[in-house]
Amino acid sequence: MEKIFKKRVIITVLAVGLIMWMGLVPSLAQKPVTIKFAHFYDPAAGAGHVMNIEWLEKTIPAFEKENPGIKVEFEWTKWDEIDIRSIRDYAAGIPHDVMMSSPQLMPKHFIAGDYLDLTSYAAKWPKARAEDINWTPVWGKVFPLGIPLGIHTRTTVYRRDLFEKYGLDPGRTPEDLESLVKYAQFLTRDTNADGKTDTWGLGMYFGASRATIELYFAPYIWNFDGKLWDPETKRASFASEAGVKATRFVYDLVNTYKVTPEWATVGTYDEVGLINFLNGTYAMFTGFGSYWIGPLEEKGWVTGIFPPKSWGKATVADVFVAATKPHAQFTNAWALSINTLSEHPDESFKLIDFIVTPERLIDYPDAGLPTLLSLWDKPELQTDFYQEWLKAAAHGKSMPYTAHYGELADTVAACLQEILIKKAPIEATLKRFEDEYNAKYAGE
Amino acid sequence: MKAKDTISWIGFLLISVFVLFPLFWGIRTSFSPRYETSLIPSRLTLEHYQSLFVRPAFLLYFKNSLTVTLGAVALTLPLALLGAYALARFNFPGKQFGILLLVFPLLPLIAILVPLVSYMYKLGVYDSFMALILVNSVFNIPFALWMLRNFILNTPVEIEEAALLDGCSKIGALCRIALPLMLPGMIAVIVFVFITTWNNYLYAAALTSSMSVRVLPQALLSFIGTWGMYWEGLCAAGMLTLIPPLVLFLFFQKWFIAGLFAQWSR
Repeated sequence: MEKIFKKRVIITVLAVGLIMWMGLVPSLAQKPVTIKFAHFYDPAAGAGHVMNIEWLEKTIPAFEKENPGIKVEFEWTKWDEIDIRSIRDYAAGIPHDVMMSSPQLMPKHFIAGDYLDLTSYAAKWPKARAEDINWTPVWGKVFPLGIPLGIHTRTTVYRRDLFEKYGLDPGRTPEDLESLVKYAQFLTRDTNADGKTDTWGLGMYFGASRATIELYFAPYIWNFDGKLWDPETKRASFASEAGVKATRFVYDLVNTYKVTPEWATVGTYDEVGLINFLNGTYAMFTGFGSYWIGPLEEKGWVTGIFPPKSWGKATVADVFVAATKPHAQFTNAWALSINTLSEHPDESFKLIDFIVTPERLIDYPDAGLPTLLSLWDKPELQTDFYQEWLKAAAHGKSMPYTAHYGELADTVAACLQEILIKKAPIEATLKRFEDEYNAKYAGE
Repeated sequence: MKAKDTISWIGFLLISVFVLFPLFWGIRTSFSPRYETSLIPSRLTLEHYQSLFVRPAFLLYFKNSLTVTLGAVALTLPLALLGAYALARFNFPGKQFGILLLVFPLLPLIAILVPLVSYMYKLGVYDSFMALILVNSVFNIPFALWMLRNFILNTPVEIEEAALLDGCSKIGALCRIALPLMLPGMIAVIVFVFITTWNNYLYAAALTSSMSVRVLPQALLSFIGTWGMYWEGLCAAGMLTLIPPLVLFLFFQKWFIAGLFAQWSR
């Protein structure tokens, strides 16, 4: 009797336990996880930012619908502070989840340890998917700490109408630095014969900004087979023979050939570059970013190009791949990373995985150019204009992998300014700035 | 005498041009069409101001700035007042070190940013108005306290003593006697705390991450974007941001300047 009673008690307890467990497990599984997505788009900052916010507001609900157990909240940080915030908050013990990140600062993140290594996640991708995204120079720079969202590369933009006006074939553009100079000399004009140049042959920007190293000095030193920074010795090497040639080239454009205005050393990149090009100051401007395609459409100098249409055409303004050797043009992008302190890394990667697909990236406004090779097969990107950009993207190269990249960029910008403005001796000045940099940062 | 006057006027004009030209350039840019760089714009436009008001975010940031600023004033003023009264009227050990309060704000915030952010996170106020109000108040209190202390020292202590003899409490003497006499000092402190909090960017950038708690200085810097700079929008937003502290300053400039001078006179 007692045995039967004991058996019944055990069976009852087990049954109740099983029922409770069955009830509990689904409720645990259904408990939503909230992950944070840190971006820098601000609705108060203009139409470009609004477009990107709208894209996020469309993408995130689609993700949440597909993943009912995951909620996404936005965090905001200014675009040039988002990497620093990640590093600072990591030091302060504040967790984040998915964060937009910058390739140039990946070495810093690597040292800080604030981003997760995504190798184990990306390893689960099928081969075709991996090959679709890892073809760009940006991939090597951001992975494994990030996954690129697009490609920001640069070309030379030029005025087809001015080429025609001065008897040049707008379908033929300079292919090396020597012919670039010849074109620039031919196109530099004093149209009203007042002794002042009205149209500059080749616009460039050498201000106190990182654009100076990224868009000009680096491509030219790479063109002359040199390096800005030697990864083996971990020392700056921009005062090398190639560095002297690159600087001489830039110096001559401004001071010898006078095809680039002296005021290229002041102001801001967009002011000197985009605004002056749109104002008709230049026949060509090199260092023109893929993020500036929109303003060409606004100006009416291209049609059906932004947003891209299969019939898109460059009418007044067109682009050509910068006239340096292959793989000598700076290329970067925004990337997505996962904060090391994230409490939900798997869900965070799920979000990245969801975003980095052709369906989502096709209309991502800040992509610059598509990071997925398959997207380039779309008819709207088959136009001559975009095919030139594809060449430029494949032609690209990333900045050296140094944790002191910012300091290196600032040093080179200051050095070039001294040479261009004060007409300081090239070799000695480069050497002095290189020594100063190496005294502080050599060996990392 | 005349030559001296002329030199003074020339100096005054030069300084005025130096100070006012950036303001003039900001106003000019905010009313100029986009991409126009000539000194006198070809036409004037309100499009950049309109573009701010069609964006609800700008108004939200304006409201947030006002909340944080008024919150900081509300927290700083009573605390600074009590501290200032104690420093001015009571004797206690270590009082002579009160001057060190003026050294505290000289500490560069960037040096303590990481522990500060960490501490605010642990307090559970990270990414909230409370974090901004607390930090702005903490960094404003020393200077505000010292300004108020000097105002209290300038009010005759005899009236307070008479009130105490008549049975008034110390708090009563402060509220009923000292406060009305030092109203200009309090206004000076309000203007000072308002302006410094209104303009502060670093605390907001470090202590907040949600769009809903962003303040105006962050909104201003967002015009310096990844695709370039929207100078005209930046200038228009800058001009609008300038209005509240400017109005406050213009209304109370006499007391504010008196407050600052009282600072150095003791």
